Amino acid sequence: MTYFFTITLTLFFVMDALGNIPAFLEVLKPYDQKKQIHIALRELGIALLIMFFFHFAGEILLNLLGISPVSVRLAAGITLFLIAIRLIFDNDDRVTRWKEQKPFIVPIATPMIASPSVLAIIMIFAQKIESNLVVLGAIFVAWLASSILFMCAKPIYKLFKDSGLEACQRLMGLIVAMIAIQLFVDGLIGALKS
Amino acid sequence: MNPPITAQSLFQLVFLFWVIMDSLGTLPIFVSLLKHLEPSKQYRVITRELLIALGLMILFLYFGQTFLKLMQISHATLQITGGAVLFLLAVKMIFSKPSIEQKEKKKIPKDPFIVPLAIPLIAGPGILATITLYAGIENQFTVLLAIIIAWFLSLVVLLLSPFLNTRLGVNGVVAIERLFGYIIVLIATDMAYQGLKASLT
Repeated sequence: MTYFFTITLTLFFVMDALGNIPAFLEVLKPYDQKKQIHIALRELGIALLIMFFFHFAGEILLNLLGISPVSVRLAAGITLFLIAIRLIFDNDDRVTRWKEQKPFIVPIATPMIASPSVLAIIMIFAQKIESNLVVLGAIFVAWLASSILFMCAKPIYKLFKDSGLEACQRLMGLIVAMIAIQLFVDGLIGALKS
Repeated sequence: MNPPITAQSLFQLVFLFWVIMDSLGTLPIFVSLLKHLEPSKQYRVITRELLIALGLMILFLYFGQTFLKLMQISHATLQITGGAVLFLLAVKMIFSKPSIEQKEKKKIPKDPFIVPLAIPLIAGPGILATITLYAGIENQFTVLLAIIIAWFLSLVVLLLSPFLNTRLGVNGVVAIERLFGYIIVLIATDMAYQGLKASLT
């Protein structure tokens, strides 16, 4: 249960829905209201499928390679920490990067929602815990929370503006950094004990 | 666990918080963002933004620990994370170039509200992590007092910003920021070291 909570929050923060809202709105701008909702729902669905797929793929891959849980924790900690640093210090303009693309799978489903960072973490978590149900549930809950934010993108954007969303992203980055260090330290203790 | 209030720890915390709030380093950004407002309006905006930052810092003082418990993050972890984040911030301060200010300037609305002055310039990730950290070690009242004093010092510095900026010049501000950067590197390294020591034993 405790892991469920940690994984859900980690995934939610790494999906970085708030940070992605400006880019999300930019991509959907050329379409009318009805079409926008249609595209958003479709892309969110695809993102969920991609994440589930990587969960099973990750489990198979890690078992095949026979990677020890200690290494998984160390790797997860380091990867997450690097992601967190990007969230905290990142200044690059995501809005302009995806301009003038027809949104189908790319860029909304992936890499915006099911970003490489999210997929990497899902694969890492796939081995860490026994029960598939916990991880799948966590993916679903984090996805649901992000989806709600994306569906409310317009009012949220009006409220926070670009710079407000960036500030939220930085604070989230700080939390991701803490989760990362916790994983890393767990791994380190495990490595030193054995 | 509630350690007693001592003058020494209070002094330490005030200094620590004031350095991390980095009012001198953010001074040029305040000046450039508020340039177009009348002086009386400038003071009002500075005070308002700082009050918002203070509110957020006090919020973290009281609820940061609760949140950590909820996330199952140990105290040592917070120490290491705080150290790592502060270290990176300090490196940015030491090697900062004027181009960073340019970037911040680009996307600023006419009357900067909350962002970027209150958050993240004054109440940034570094200070919030540090406050949460010390809320768990020191007497909460000491920390609160230290936050308020450090905040007040920052307020004074920023209210004097038009004057200080002309006095120190660009190079003066950069030099001071660099010096603070080196101090923060020391603080950050020690924080991470203490955390690592605590989590490995």
